[in-house]
Order: sequence, then structure tokens, then C-alpha cells
Amino acid sequence: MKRIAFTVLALIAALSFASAQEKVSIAAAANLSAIKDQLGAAFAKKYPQYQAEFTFGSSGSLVTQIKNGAPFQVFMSADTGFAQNLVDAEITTGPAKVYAVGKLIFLTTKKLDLSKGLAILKDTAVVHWANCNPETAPYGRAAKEALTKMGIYDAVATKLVTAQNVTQALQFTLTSADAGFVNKSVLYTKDVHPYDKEGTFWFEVDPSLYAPIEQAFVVLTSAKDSKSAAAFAEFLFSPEAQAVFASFGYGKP
Amino acid sequence: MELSPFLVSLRLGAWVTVLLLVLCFPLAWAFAHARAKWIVFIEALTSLPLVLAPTVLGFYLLIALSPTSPIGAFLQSTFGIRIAFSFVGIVIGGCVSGLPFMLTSLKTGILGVSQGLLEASYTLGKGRLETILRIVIPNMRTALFAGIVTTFAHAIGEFGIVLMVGGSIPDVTKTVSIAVYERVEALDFSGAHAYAITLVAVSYVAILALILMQRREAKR
Repeated sequence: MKRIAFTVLALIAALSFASAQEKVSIAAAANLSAIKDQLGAAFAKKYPQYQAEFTFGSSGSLVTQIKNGAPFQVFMSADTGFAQNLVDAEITTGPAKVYAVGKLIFLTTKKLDLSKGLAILKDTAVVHWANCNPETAPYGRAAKEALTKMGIYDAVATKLVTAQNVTQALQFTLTSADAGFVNKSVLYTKDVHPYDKEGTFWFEVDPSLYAPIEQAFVVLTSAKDSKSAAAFAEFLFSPEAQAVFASFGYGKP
Repeated sequence: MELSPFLVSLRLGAWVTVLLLVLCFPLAWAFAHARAKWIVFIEALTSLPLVLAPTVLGFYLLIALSPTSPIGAFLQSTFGIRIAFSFVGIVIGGCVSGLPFMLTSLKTGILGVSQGLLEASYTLGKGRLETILRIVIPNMRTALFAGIVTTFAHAIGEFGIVLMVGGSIPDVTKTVSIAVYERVEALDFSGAHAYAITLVAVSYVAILALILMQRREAKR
């Protein structure tokens, strides 16, 4: 009995030591989940005393959570609007700053003739296509904008299935939908690896068809005295972080 | 506020309740009366949705119903139907998650009918079907009502599974609970309130009716 108690105590002690580094808690837009490991590793390398801890959701839901007191220190949005929303609510330490520019891709796991471009959505081979909610997810907004600009949105809207964030749009695309719009960075993840052949399974949506997805972040007032949060904010513009973003297909701010 | 999410939810609730009522009665009868020991394993399985996270059910349904899975591929090639992102899909999801609610109520009801009544009916030469229709069902009215109300209310409020396999298609799979979620996400709180408060009111009335009926039954 004593030995068990000792082991448990030792375990608890070991666990608390393991988390002795000061943490930065980051609420991040769903499209960033693909790069969290690399970004976290690069941060840990530059600042060994700190540790980045990510929580993912759609930008809209994260803003709601933060406004209602969720204990995050940094918010990495998928656009500028949602970050600005927190600035307007006066709960940030400064203005929203753009850290990367997202790229939208069209992805399918089926044999579709992608030479037709986005017009392939009108084809009968596409029964359902997935997009994330344009009201809350910037990538969904961009996809809707591109299709509207091409004049085919209304024609294909009946086949649309709406996901609540870009990660769910990817889930739908990989399972039951025939195609979908997702962030380019998913191409570098394990699940999408079998479909990473450009022109066969995906193509980049012409950036001139949608307003740029400028992803901005803010530091929240609750972290105004936090050295680790300040370090993370600085890190996002460092060559190391920018190299990670670039390797996942994000554009420079 | 749009009306369509309410209609989708009501349709979902109605379908799930009727299907489960028909499907669960024989099952509940078996759970209440069967002597075979192995039946408990089936009973445990049917109670699983009560404790499993909806995301687990939704995840497996999403995979099972996808056109690339064996079940999905069979339905697609044989009947030309696709269940994922369809009303049928969320009805299946609702049935899976509502199963324990209906089953538990019906089993309680069936067990509540006194063995003496059943034996009297059999002794008087009535068959099992007639006994069920004229003795068992009238004597388990409250449990029946409880099963219908809880299953219906639960189906209307179903969220996790519908979110994962529905795809929020207006008039088809966009239910009230999804509409609430989307309004909150869009930071449109007044829109969310309109849907949410209606859902609270409907659920409250249903549960209140159930409790009143149980009280009346207890007094008799």
C-alpha cells in the first residue's frame, strides 16, 4: 500500500515537473491544426523555457469563448475580421497583426476531371461538395466568393453541405462528400497524403477570385504581463516561424 | 428566425419516434421476458448510446454511411441512394442515439404489467398478440407515453450526430439545434435566442406533460 502511494506521488511529481515550463495558451483557427506540431517545435527551439499549447475551433466560436472569459492568452484567427472583433471589444493589448496569408484549394478524393476547374462542381459526378460556413469560417467565405464571382454558386448551391469549420469540411471531403474547399496546409498532413497529387486531386483556387485570407492574431489583455505570450507574439514574425508557415503553403504577410 | 429548421426537427423527431416505437417493442419484450442469458449482452449493446459521446456515434456513422464504405457502396450501387448528408442519414443517427430512451421505457412498462394478468389472459384462451394488444399495451400507457416523449424530445434536440453526418443542408438536415449553433458561431446572439428559447419551451411542455401523467397514474 505504501509503495503504491509512493509511486502515485512520484508520478504526480514527475508530471508536474514535465509541465514546469511556462505555457502560452493559444486559441487557434482550425486551419492551423495541420501546422501545430512544427510551429510548437520551432517555438520550443527558440524559447526552450516556454511551451505553446493550442486549442482549435472555428474563429467565430473562439471569439465567443474568449469574450465569455475563456482563459487564452493569444488568439490566432483565420482572418482579420474576427481578430478585429476582439480589438473592438477592447480586450487585446494591441492591434490585430497579420502573421500569414492563407490559400484556398479545391480537393477531391474521387476521380474528377479537374481540367474543368471549379465548373466541375456542376458535373453530375459531384453529388455533394463541402464548404465550411461562410459566416464563421474565412475559408468558407473565400470559397463562396470565388464561386459567386464565377457565376456558378447558385447553380451548385443545392449540392452544398456545410461544415462548421475548415477541419470538418476536410472530414466531409475525405469521407462522404465528392469534393470540398479547404486550406492548402492540409496537403501536408498524413490523412491527405494519398491525395496530394496536384491536378489529379487538388488545385489552388485562383487567388484573384477571392479577397486575400489575411490571418491575424492578437494578444489578449489577460496576458499583458506574460513574458511567454510576448515571446510567442514576437516569434510569429521570426524567420523560423515564417519558414514553418511557408513550408505549409501559407503566403507571407 | 426561419421556420424551416423547426420543421426539419419536428420531422426528424416524428420519424425517429415512430420507427423506434415499432422496432423497440419486440426488443423490449425480449429483454423483459427472454430466459436466455446471452440476451444481456444485446441489452448492454443497445444501452451503449446512452453513455457514448455523440461524436463517437457520429464518427462511425459518417464512416459507415460514406459511399466508399461497404454499406454505403451497397446502397449506392443497388438502390442508387446516398445516405450521408440526407434526411434518412440523420434519421438513422437519431434512431441509434434514441434507442436506449425508448427501450428502457418500454421494458419498464412491460415489466410493470402483472404476471397474473398475463396468465389470466392466456388461460382464457387468448393468444400472445391479442394479449399484448388488449392487456399489455393498455396497462403500460404511462411508460409508453414516457418512451414517446423522451425519444421525441431527445431526437429534436439531437446535436452531435446531426452535426457530424448532416452537413447543415437547409430544409433537409439543418435542424433547430444546428441553427442555434450556427447563430452563436456567427455571433448573432439574438438569432440564437429566438431558436433556443422555443426549443426550451417545447421541451419543457413535453416533460411537464409526462410528469403530470405519471402523477395521475400514481394516484390511481
